[in-house]
This record gives sequence, structure tokens and C-alpha cells, in this order.
Amino acid sequence: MLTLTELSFAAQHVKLHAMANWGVNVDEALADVNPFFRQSSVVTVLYNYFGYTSFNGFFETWAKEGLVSPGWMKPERPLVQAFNHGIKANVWQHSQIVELVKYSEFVNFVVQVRAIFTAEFQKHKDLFPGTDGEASESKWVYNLFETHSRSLSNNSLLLLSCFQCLLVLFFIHSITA
Amino acid sequence: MDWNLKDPLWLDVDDPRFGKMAEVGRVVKVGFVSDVPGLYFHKRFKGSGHPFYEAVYKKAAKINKKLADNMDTCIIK
Repeated sequence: MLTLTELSFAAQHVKLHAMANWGVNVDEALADVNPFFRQSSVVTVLYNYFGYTSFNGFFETWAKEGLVSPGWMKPERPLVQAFNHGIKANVWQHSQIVELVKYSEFVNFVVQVRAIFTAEFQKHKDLFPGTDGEASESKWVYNLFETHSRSLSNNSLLLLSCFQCLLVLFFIHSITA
Repeated sequence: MDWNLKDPLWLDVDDPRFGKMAEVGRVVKVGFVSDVPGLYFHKRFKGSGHPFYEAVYKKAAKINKKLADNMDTCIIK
């Protein structure tokens, strides 16, 4: 469970943050067309910055409080290295993800809702100028991934799954019996 | 993680091989996994009042309401 948690936190979920950057539009002109979407976009971009750039700065305080080892605040930024390792590992195609639908509540939901999301996005695309619909999906998948997929590991299914947003493909983080 | 890792102390920081991972895992679980309280803006598909997000939510909830209720319109944690 520990290694899967670390894998999902440090190496995998950061990709969803990155992909979400293609599903946003912070242009001021959008304030009139779709203010809710612009607000969500600003929040997402800002939080992505917090996660990748600012988070590492907390380690000094945490180390002084004894919550983490001093090594975490090294100038080499070990956690950022883990982030980068995951990002550089890229996203792989798992074209047979549908076969997992009958075994995973999470995969079943994501597969079905992706089709709904895409269809509705086409209907409402005028509200989302300059936005990649596939990347937009990553924002809602992100939270589900954070809250649900790790729960599967606790339930011995040990399946972490996620969404391949830019290439419209799915991938599996890890599957362990 | 928020739903099932009930106790951050389940992560063993004394493990000789993976203990360092557990340190960060504990901090993340305690400080960065639960929904952020006090937001002054709406962040869910559900109840957004937006034609697109509401349309997706309505159909998604028929598949799995618990997961649909946790669909976010932005990344804020």
C-alpha cells in the first residue's frame, strides 16, 4: 500500500495536473462568455503552480518539526525529482482498459462518463473557446483518482487507474494481485 | 486516499526501505487530501448551475452517485 500510495502521489497524479493545463482557459475575455469556467481555470492553474513549485518549500518547516527527514529539504529537491521522473515516464496506452470495467467500480464509471463528457462538451463547446475537451476531463478525473483509486489498493484489489486525457487513451498505473 | 486511509499512522515511517515515502505520505494524507474548507467558490459539477457541468453530472449520477458527487470542475487539492 505504501509503495502504491507513493507511486500515485509522487509519480502519477502529477501528470493529471499537467494535462489539466490544456483543459483550461484563463483569458479575461472568457469572463463574459463563461465566468464559472474561467474561475475554475484560474484556480486550477494556480494550484498546479502551488503543487509543483511551492510544495517543496514546506519541507524545511516539516523537517524542523520532525515530521520528515532532513533529506527531503536537500537542494536537489528529491520530491520534485520524483515528480519529474513520473512526468518523463510519460503516459502509456492501455487500449484494453475496457476489460477492467467489470472488475472496477472506478474504471466502469470513468469509461462511461468519459463518453457522456465528450458528447456534452460537443453540445456546449461554444462555452469553452480555446479549450481541449479531452484535457478538461483530467480535472474531474483528478479528484476521483485522488479519492477513489487509492482506496482500491486498501481493499486488496490494488488497482490504480487513471485517464489518458490528451490522447484519448486510458492507462493503468499499476495492477498487483 | 481520503476515503480509505483512515489513519496516517498506518504508513510505517520506520520501514528501512520505504520509510521516507511514508513520511511524505503521512503529511500528504493529513494536510492535502481532504477537501479544503472555507472555499468561497463552487467547485463541484453537482450544484454548479452551469449547463455543461450539470448535464454531465445528471447523467453520471445515474451510473454512480457517490463518484459523480465528487466530480470537480477545478483542481484545488
